[in-house]
Amino acid sequence: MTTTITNTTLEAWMSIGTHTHNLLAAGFGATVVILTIAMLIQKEVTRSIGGQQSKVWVQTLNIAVFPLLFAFGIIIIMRFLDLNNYN
Amino acid sequence: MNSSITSEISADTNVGLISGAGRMMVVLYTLLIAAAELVAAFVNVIAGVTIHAVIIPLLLSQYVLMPQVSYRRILPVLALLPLVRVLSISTIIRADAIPPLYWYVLVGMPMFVAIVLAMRLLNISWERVGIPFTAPAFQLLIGLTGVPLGIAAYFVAQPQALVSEMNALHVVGGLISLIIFSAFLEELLYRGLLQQIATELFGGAGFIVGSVLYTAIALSTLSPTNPNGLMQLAFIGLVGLYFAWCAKRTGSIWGVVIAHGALNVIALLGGPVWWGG
Repeated sequence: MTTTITNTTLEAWMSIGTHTHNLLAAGFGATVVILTIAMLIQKEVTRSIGGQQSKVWVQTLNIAVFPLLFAFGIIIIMRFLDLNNYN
Repeated sequence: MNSSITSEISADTNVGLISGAGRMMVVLYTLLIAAAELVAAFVNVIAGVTIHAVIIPLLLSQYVLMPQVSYRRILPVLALLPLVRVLSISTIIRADAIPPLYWYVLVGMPMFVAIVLAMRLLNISWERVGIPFTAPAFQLLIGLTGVPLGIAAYFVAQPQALVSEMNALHVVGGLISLIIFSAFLEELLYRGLLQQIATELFGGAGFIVGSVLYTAIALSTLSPTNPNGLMQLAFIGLVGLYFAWCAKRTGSIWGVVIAHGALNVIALLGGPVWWGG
């Protein structure tokens, strides 16, 4: 009964071991990676411009960048563990 | 914090009630978030999450690029809602070795960072998001209402057990996960930060705006595979409205944190063991 984890998350998780799960995991992984990279590029470009507004840009983008980097790290670790299990 | 940023932010705190166009923008973003949830539930989950992922930079960029608009301060807070969904799905789908009981920790840790960064950006103190423990007797009374709400929540949602085998470690871990990383996190975000900003912009109706957004981000509960979806959503909406009203009346989120924690523990941790058969 929380809004953090809803049925969508449960359904995605329950597809483990199926082709759908691999597809979903790859799809969500790609979404996070693309979003993280796009926001990091946006952050670096605005930082390179300099000035007061660029500092506001960096502070604002950090709200999403830090959590996304955390998710990115989890995805990489889990993917690495998956590959390790194959071998 | 850099002084130039501080001066910009302190200028930003001189806000009044939102204009008509501003209200329309908030409604538009609420509809976008709701649409992303419904697409995830009924059409395609990847498409839904992708819409959420697009909304995040859109909101954050608009915050920086449009410093003159009346609704500016709600934009970074609104960005936290799609961020919850992107984080919850993308990290958990890979975390098949971690019991569902601890998923809240996985999503909660980065979300706490995001909330603190949003508060710093908007120059909002902990006092303003309801951290002071005012009127302790009243707060505890509100907290006690979490017990009947938790029992009701269990029978409305009939959730599966979050761990296959309950032991002392899972009880302690579950309490931390469900109280700190779910109840406290959600109350800090929705009844603390979001409600504070919504009240700045919408006045007395701010708590209703916060509750509508809280219900909007739960719309994927209506998934066709969930037979009790509509009941669950109605329950989430009503409980959200009740919590919002309590937080507004007391000026503190502690009562609703206790109530939400009790609700989570009874419905998700105890209920499946006690009544699950």
